[in-house]
Amino acid sequence: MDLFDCHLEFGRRAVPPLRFAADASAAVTLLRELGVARALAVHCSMHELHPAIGNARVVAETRGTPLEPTWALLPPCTGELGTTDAFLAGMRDAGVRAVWVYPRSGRFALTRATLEPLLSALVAHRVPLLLNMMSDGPTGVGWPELTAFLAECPAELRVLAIIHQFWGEDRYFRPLLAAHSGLHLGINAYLPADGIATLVRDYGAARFLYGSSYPEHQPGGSLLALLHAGLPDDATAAIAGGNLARLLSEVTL
Amino acid sequence: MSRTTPLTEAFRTLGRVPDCPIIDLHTHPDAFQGIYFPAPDMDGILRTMDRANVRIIAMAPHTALKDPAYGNPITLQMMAAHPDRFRTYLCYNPHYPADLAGLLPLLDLPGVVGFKIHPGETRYPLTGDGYAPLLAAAEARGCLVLSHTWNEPTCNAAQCRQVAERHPNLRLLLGHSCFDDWTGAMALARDFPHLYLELTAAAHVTGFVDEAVAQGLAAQMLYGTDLPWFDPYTTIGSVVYADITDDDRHAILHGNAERLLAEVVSAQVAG
Repeated sequence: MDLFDCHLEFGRRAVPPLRFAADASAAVTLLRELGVARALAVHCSMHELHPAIGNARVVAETRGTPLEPTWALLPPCTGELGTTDAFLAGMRDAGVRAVWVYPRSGRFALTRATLEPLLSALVAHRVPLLLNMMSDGPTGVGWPELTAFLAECPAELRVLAIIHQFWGEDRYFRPLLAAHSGLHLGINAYLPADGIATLVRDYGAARFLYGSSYPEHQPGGSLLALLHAGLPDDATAAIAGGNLARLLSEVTL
Repeated sequence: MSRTTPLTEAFRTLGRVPDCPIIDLHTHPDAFQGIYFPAPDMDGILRTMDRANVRIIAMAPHTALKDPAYGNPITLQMMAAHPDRFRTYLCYNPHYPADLAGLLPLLDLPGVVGFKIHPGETRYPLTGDGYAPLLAAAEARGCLVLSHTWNEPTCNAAQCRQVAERHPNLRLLLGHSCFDDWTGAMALARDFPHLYLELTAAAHVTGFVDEAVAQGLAAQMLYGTDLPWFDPYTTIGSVVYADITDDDRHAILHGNAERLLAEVVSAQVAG
């Protein structure tokens, strides 16, 4: 089974977790120990220092590894990451196919007006937006905030919302799954007993992604929860990596 | 220490390892106002247990944490139906101290392993007078006390330390391991051998299991899930893929709990 982690972070944070991957090499070792083939990677400097710094570092440090770099965006209005065209060209040249939005640490509103014209360009090129659904964390977004954002965005927008909270959040995200076909969920910390099987029963397997969210979460929990959720093999394979691979393959940069 | 041992491989490929059953000493088998659970009733809980080779769980209903008179009968009934699979904590709300007298005789029932208390949910400090008679009774009888513990005003590591000092023979399970005060939790377990680090939610924090084992605390660590909050495999995976030995994994997933439950039965018989 080709496991493709949708969210793994490396780098030395200002406040280090008990365990972490200090560099890409350590992250690759972790992947190997977990039997995971590849991962969408974040460098902590993308949200702790500045996206311009972190975006460059994640590309440089993941080159030649099973880690695929992601970038963080900022509102185009300040021009800190260049023009929209330059940002997209940079993504294409660096092999970046998904971008994070960190409105809390970046101190901006998660609204369509804030992100235009970049947002429309991302929609046109089918680039997924990644969001940490951690309402109390510095890089996080709350479900009510995402609900309002999706309501004003084009239906074609692809959003990968990464679940992080210990408290089950079905009552927040199920209405969004029903209303927004572009919404996909990283079940990195989707914890309820029999929850994965119930989600697949109710929505099919195509909208859910495996991920570790290391080092926020101990690796292995989300992995065994998926492998032993009692799903048909094709559903497990889709969530393990097939869905993410498909979404990224559809990016048209 | 390794993440690639025969035991980790068996859990990955098979999901169930006959000589490594799971015992969960922190569960809540009923519905909860704040979260949708697909199958929180007895039959659903049993299906989940069977899927993950969870042999025994110790239970305290959500409802009993706030309203023990309503909730405690739920688990007593479940235990009567499946005495081989279920153990019961009696829940107690310190705002109603007169209720304790009615609970104490129930400690003699087979399968009742002690008390579950939730200082956070009841907004009542663990060190408050309302808990003192319960803690003293549990210490005298040799049963367990599972307390919600968290880095918050009602049940933090400093308060757990006070209780541990007052009750040197109390088998106190630190539910969630004083979540978010990992240094404080590990210091407590080092200083007081009668305290246990219960891993619900805590096991999901990167490195806590690894670090606590590295500090020599494997014999005081207990698997837990808040079932149905956490699917058993989310915590199994967090323990199995920690950078520890297979002996540590056995101790955390079942061995320590087996020992504790046997001690409780011995104390019950002796008492």
